[in-house]
Amino acid sequence: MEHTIDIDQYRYNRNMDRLGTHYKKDEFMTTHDTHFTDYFKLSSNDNSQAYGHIYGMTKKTKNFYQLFIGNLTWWTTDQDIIDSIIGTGVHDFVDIKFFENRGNGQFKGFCTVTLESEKSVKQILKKLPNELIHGRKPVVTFPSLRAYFMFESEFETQFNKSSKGDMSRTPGDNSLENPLQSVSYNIRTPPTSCIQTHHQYPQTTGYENQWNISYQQNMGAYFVTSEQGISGAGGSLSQINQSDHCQESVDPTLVNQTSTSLKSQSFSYDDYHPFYTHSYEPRKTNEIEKTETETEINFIINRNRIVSSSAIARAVTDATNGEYVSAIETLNTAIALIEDSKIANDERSKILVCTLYNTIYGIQNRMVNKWKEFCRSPSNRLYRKPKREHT
Amino acid sequence: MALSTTTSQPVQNNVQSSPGTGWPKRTAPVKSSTCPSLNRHINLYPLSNYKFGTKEPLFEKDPSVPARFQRMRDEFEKIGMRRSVEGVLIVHKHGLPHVLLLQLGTTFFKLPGGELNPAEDEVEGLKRLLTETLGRQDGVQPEWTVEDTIGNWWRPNFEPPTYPYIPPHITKPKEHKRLFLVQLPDKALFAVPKNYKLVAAPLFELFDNAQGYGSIISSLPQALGRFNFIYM
Repeated sequence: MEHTIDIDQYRYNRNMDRLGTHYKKDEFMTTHDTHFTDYFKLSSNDNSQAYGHIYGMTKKTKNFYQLFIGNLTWWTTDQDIIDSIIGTGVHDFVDIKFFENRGNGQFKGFCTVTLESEKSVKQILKKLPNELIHGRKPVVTFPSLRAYFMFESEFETQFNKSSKGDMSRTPGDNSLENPLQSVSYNIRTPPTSCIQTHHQYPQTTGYENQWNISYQQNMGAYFVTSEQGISGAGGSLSQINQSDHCQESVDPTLVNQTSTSLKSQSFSYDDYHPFYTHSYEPRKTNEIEKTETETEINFIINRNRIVSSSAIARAVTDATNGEYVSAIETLNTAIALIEDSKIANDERSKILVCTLYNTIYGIQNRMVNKWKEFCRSPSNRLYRKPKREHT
Repeated sequence: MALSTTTSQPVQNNVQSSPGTGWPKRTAPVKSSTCPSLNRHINLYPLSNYKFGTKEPLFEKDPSVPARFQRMRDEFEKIGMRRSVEGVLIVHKHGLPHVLLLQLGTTFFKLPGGELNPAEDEVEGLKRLLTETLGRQDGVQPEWTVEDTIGNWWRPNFEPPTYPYIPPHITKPKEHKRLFLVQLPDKALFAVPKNYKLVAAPLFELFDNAQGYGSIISSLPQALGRFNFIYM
């Protein structure tokens, strides 16, 4: 165990080193206005570190090599993966980033590992697929959007398999079923024991992405507002806090008003992603009615849907985090993938492509609005200073 | 979503260990005298019993969200997982419990509380943080009675999401946040920092409203459902 702890420490140190280089680069790039510099420093940290898993796909780090490892169970830990990497004789492991369902934190079964040398990459590609992690053979690929969508669709087809079984089933017929989708009268055993049944767990529903996105938007809104609150804090003296006004201050109606305005502020999900409103329902019915001959076409359609929904999910995450370029890049790749597929001329594929274009359009609009907002907001006056100098 | 799994597990346990209790209503109601934790009484006082004054603004430690995560990262290196505590202070009005929330700006709400110092006791730390946030300034020590834990939340990564469990692939959570129910005295004066508003949110406003209040605060109605509130 001792050596693994060392490696862990090492990895965190490496992270710090990477951070350090970012600082330098940004200081170099930005103006002498300290606030301005701070702003860029922080945003750069956020992009490279907090959302490191996106980083792996969109940017190539200079001295690091990355790989995707997939086909893992959702209870595989970082330590398990590190141990099996060490088992292949690789010791220059730097970092690991899990892909998770943000709605519930569940591991999606694939992750990005960062390594220091190309030699290690080759060694892992060669040896790791022959090892077993929790009884499964890991799949190792180079990081690419294509590989990402492949893993993502695998994750979602596992759900589809179990949900299909559910639809034709009466409750109590099969005791080991996902309690989400049917009333189960039997109690499931904890997940630790068996590997085969993992997909019957409360994985995700078809709404996963939808939920996921709205959640992320929510988190986005949540933190944007917190920021506004903090930055605008000094100026806004709430006279409601005066003791003679205390009744109004704590009146429930006040809470109601603010929260309703909040709801109307956050833009409607359906406006932004018309895709979900009309696509999930057909998928459900299709699954019941389809015959065996249509299986292949349906498979491709489903895959395209998953590609497009996960691309939108990822793009919205990126956009929420301010990474508009990578968001648009993701969407473009998804469009290319769908247009490459056999049924590109199918009506349903066209709808998907159309939706993706709409999303790009939406993100571009947001990009513009965000910048306008940023310039308009009184709390950002300090950041505007350099801009005025330009004009 | 996860509700069905989480409830189904204890049902089995209860049936085996103590057949008189449990979730399905097939047995007689629980006797309150047998075990105090099965029927907790919490006294709630009307909102009008409390007075609210102001005091100097209390700014957050971090100027922005990225700065917050950066500090969390830095401290994780040095002192390990962050431990946070928050207090749930409840009053009643119109026959419904209301949770006291601090409002920053127009749309951000939080529970009073904050980060513990390394090795600080949870309850002592919560009392310290509550006094810092809401304590009056005339030197009178406020009376906080920490009654019970009502929830634990973990942050698996240096990212916004938190969950009321540790996802199994995570060996090192980055933050552990514990929520405590705090019994308020029958009358009190709270001094609210000028940059905050103190609001009393009725439970129906919080219920199922993660959009407006985040997942932790919006799950409070479920977490508080087990208490027997007495409106004084």
